[in-house]
Amino acid sequence: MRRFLIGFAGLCLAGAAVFWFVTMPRTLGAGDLPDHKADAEHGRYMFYAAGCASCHAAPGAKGEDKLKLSGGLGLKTPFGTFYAPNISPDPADGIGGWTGLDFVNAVTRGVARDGSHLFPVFPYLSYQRMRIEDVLDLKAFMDTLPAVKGRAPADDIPFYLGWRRLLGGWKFLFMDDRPFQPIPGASAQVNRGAYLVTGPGHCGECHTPRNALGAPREGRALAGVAAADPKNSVPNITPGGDLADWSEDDIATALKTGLLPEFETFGGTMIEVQENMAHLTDADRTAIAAYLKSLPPLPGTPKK
Amino acid sequence: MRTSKVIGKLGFGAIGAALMLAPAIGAAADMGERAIWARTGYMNLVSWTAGPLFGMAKGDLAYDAETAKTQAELLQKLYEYPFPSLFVAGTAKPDRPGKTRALPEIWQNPDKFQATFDREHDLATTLVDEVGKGQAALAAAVGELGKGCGGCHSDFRAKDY
Repeated sequence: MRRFLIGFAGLCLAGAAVFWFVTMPRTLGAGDLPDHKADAEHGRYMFYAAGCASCHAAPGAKGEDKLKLSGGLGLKTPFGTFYAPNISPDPADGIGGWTGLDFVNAVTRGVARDGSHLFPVFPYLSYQRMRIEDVLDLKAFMDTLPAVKGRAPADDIPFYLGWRRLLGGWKFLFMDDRPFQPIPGASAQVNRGAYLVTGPGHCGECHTPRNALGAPREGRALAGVAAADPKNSVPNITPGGDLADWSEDDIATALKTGLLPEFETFGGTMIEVQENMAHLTDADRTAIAAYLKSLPPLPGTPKK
Repeated sequence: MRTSKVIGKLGFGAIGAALMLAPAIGAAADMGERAIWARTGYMNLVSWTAGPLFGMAKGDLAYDAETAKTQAELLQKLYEYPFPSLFVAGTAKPDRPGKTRALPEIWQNPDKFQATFDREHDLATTLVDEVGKGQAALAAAVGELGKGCGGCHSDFRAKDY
């Protein structure tokens, strides 16, 4: 009996050690940063490409207020409601004092300055594809934004999710820590579109269906999500879905103006996305369109 | 009267009633079909008239103040037609599958439908003033008009037939 207990305790210890190792936050070190002079003007461009204000500005903010990143917007998920934090340069309530390295680790690795894992409702699964130079430029721009006081409400989530270490396991399963890989044989334009869509644009965070653990389903990238209420459905934006009849020009125009073929317009959360996309260049919007049209068609258009 | 004669008289009566009612029923079905035909044509005409304006807004067509003003005025005139009256009873998409995209919401919310259409008329009136002020002003006003088109469609028109 005693031997059994000792053996069992040893097994538990070994299991805990494995768990601890697997869930350890994986971050970049100062030596991993490229030699790059941050460009705040380009950072402003990345700010719109990555859509930061859509979650981190105060709910309902319009115009100039969208640059006051006070947080507070609640995102309802099957795991509870998460509140976007204050990421203004305020040193007490925001991320004032964070270095470029801190910011890169948060955005591309999902690890906060204090070493805790961030919830993947912050789309670092997409942002892990971003070029570090682009993230550093974004940081430089965000440093110029107004400091805002106040914190977002605490996340409304089940107690066990409060143990952030668990997210290390989720990351172990679903994050590959790989930078953006250009598609071999694809044009520079399509690859630019691929970078924008899979990286800063984080389109898949809405348009890709998720599994029971809240991670993107393999092989269903951008294939849309059906919902009981058609107004909550997210379209399939591969050529196998609603965009089948759209030209590249239709997609680029839609992102620029919000006007779709057949005198339709974007609705719901896509309105804000389009307002961000309107800040990109025509070339980048066309690149996004070219990439979407180049994808292999996946079935599964949610019905209206 | 013998049973067979009663049945015979009832039979003739039924045939007679059907023959009398048929034109009325047929006319009703016809009316609905014609209303669908008319309102689809109306929307095609709106699209045709607005086409050059959207072209100029996008930059596919060279900006021309005269043409833009002409089209905007025509569009405004079109919006004076009582379009919502073309949505007669029994012509929603579930009633006429494959023929129309009109959603039952139109009949459930007739005030909202009318108000949305009236707003489009107002946007078209604004358009008449704005299109002469240069390509940027035209694009902005056309953008607003387009958002109005989309807003009505997202509430009241199905995605497919």
